Amino acid sequence: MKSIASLAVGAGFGLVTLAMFVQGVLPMLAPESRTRAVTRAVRTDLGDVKWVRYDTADYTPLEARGRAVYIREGCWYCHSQYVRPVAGEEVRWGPLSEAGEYAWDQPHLLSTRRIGPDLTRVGLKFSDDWHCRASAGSSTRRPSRRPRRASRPRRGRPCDAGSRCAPIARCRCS
Amino acid sequence: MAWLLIFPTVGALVSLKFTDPAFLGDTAWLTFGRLRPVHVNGVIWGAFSTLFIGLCHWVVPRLCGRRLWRERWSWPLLVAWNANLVIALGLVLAGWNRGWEVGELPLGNVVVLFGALLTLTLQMLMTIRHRRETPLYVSLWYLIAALVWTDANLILLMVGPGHLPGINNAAWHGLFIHYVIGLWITPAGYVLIYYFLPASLRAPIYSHKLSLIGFWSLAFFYPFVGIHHYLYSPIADWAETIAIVSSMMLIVPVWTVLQNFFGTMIGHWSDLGRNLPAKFLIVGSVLYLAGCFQGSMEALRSLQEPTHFTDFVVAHSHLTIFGTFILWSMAAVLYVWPRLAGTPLAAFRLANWGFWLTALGIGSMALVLSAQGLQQGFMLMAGAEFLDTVVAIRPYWWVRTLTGLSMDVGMSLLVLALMKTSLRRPA
Repeated sequence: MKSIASLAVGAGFGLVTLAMFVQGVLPMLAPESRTRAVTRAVRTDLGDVKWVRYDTADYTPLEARGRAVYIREGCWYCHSQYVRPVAGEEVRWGPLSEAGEYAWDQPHLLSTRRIGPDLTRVGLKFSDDWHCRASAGSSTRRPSRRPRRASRPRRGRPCDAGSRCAPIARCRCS
Repeated sequence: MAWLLIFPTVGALVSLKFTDPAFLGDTAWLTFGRLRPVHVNGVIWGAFSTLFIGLCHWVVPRLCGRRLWRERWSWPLLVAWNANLVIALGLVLAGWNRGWEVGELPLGNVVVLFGALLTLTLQMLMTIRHRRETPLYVSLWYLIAALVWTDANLILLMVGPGHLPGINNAAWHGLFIHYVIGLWITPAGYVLIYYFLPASLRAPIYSHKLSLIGFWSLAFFYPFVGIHHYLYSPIADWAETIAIVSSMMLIVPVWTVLQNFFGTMIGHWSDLGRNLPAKFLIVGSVLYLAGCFQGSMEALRSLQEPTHFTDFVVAHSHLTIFGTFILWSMAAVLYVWPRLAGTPLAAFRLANWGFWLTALGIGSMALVLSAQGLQQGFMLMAGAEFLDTVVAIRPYWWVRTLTGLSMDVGMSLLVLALMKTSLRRPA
């Protein structure tokens, strides 16, 4: 190979553009990746559980502030917001993540490591001081820093699958 | 030329020294959320990239048979690069975080980084264009590609986090992460080993054909792998599958380049003990084989089920980034530094200790973290309480801190040996 142009244009530009198109642009073109619709269980007046589809709304200013704190303090290095359909995660953390739940997330906070639990479904299950009690109870005795408020609004359906809570001990962080 | 090189390398080593203690972030939980991005970005842009750019100032003029184009730009570039990095990491510590893993640096700093890299691209491409040697050596293929790819990738980093809505934000982020690794660090590392392995052995590279296959298969498959970071997510299944298939296909470039390196060693294995640069390069290559095999395997859905979200992935990233690319760049520094100082390496024993501490450190870190990740993953699949799995892996974390310390001490010994070399009067 002697030509700089074939390297720069062919390998450097051409193949990457192809990949970005196939792996980045094409998935975006699929309407299901841009949907705002999520599924939610509601209890009717007659007492039965009904599944409804509804559109998520943008974050309120207060929720947006909570999200900013969550990003700033790097909570997302240890907590995921991403329930997978494998490894018994639906039983452990709650219903599966849906594309619509991420519709307003810029940047996304799926995360890649769980040093603490997944947080997608905790908002509707526990009160605000749950994080504090849960991490104080861990035998590593090193609670992660207390967020100023619950970190992410939970707009998914409320969790009715039995996910077990961490043991509760004396609160050390407040 | 000599002056031009020494200082980039000094700057690099200083940044290496200040970023590596972030391995101790293991025990400093209270500031983990702030320290982690400093560690990751410091190692990538500080330790590795600064070393790499410094070493390019040695490699490129020699392969082109002429001095660098606009040589006088290099000094301001060095100052701008490092000052920008210090400011960026300071801001990250102060809580400026853009929320994209590996892309946390504040936007202003990314713009400066982009400008600096663009300048470097121009310098290098112009030098290569006006070269006196007709053939274009393999190292230069990778250099051209790495620079063009990374300029494009930094544009993605500038617009990505705040402008792509929803789940597609995650898809693009996956692409971005792996472009940093596959289209910057990997080809940059190949630039180094393709030059310094033959140079330190005084032997030609094993096979030109393998170099060609390695280069084009990397260029073809690597851009597709990113989404394997978010398997089982709401990202389209077909996109995830393409990412998995190309991750497996990465075995092709990895094994061809490694065969090229091990082939080059034929007839020279007996010199390996005394030849420190070659020793680092070859051990780095062995770790690369292990690390990349692990990487391709964990892209498979069945292995990702237990290992995703665990330290198995962390083992993989340390094995490749530190075990391969940092070791390769240390090899290059060990080759270049004594030649600049005009005297053979002082304190071979010290440097050799540095080698063993570093190599054993990263080797055991990778083993410990992989075992730990598998244990936690399978405990969770078996339905164990989440907290119990965290308690169970705690002893491994202690060992991990020890191995990290061993790597840090090893690296400090190497720096010490290099300092001794420059202080010695040229014979």
